[in-house]
Amino acid sequence: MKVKVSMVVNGEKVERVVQPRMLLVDFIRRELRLTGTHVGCDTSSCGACAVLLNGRAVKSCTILAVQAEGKEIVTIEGLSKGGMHPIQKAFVEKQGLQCGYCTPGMIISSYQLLSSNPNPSEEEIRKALSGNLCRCTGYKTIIDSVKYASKLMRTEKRK
Amino acid sequence: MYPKDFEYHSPEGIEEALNILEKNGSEAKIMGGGQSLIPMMKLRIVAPKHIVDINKISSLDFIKDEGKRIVIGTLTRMADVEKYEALRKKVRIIPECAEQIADPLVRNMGTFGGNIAHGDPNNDMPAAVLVTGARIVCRSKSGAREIEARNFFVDTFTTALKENEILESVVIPVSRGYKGTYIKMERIAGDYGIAGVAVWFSSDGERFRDCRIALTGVGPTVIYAEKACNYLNDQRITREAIKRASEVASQESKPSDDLRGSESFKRKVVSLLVRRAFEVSLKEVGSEP
Repeated sequence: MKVKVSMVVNGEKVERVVQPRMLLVDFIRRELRLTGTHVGCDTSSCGACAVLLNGRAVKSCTILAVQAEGKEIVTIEGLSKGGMHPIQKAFVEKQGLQCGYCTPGMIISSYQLLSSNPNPSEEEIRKALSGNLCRCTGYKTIIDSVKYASKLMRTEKRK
Repeated sequence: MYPKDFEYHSPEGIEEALNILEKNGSEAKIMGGGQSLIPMMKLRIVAPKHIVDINKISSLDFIKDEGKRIVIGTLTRMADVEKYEALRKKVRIIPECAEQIADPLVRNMGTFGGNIAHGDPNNDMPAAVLVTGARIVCRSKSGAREIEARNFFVDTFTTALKENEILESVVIPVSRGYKGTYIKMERIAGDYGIAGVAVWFSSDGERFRDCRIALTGVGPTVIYAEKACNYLNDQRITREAIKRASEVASQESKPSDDLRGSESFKRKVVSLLVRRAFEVSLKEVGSEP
């Protein structure tokens, strides 16, 4: 039995008829063809699939698409709508990525952190990113990137 | 990975949800945040025919400070429990436990009631609510009943909650003068603990009075370390007494070998965590043993 689901993704209203068992990440990638959101582990461990659901970072592989009914979703594509987001610029500048697979999730988690806490300590950054795994960098450059992003966002005053 | 197909219900009120439960019995499963249920459905460990998603019932998402007790609605996200000021001031063990559950992404979605109703012996919140002497409010069509947290956890993934009931809220008493904390030892960030320990106690500065200790992840369900508590009540606050209690608690645990460690290792972890939890809590009140 299929059901109708509608939500706002990156500012645009979308509506589809899907099986209730469809996961939000598959809805975003297959139905909407927004492939910036990645499937890393598919077992709720890695955070590569993180998106913002009404402003909060969540794992889209562990939410049903139907649960996002009437909600606002922002993916990595949504953050870079007006050109590269300062967090993205910071990750490039400070080499916060190597293979890039975990990066969309890292940036979504960083975004939630920086929107409520514009000048976080290293400890706060580490805690905020503890749901996102990276197998390349060893995290050092990711932390540097978030610190740099917080500086950029405070000077550019961009959300 | 896809869950097996199911019929999806999204009631907007508790009455409607209870009707669906009443009608479908054991074939229906309530979904809160889904942070435990969806992974289990994806792995096909469970395949409920009816999913009753309670996320639209906003009346179940609340924290009420009633002075002598704090009531937490089942749908309250762990991220909100973590940050609630009155809990920090009055029953700090609850937010201190909340912030150690899984990771921030999971806590943004995962609910307070779900962590308790799931009955997973590795879940952290059961130990914390148990030591505070909380009561679990369960509602069915015939009304609400309150169950002592100590009597709620029956076995692995089995609680006193009936098929036709929803865990509606948890009532946490605010007990003046009680101290304590929840600590766990993880292999990696975001994992279940190798073991976890909740301690909650009163003292008159020289002697322990009412001590409560509960253990996570070292048995078929959360374990109330009754013998250790009985031993410690009315003992002088000394390192030796705490050490003895930690050994008794370790004997009361029933861990099994798994990827998080051997039985004997986990017993050592329990004893270490009990000691550490008491020492941390006593340091804060200035009556260091």
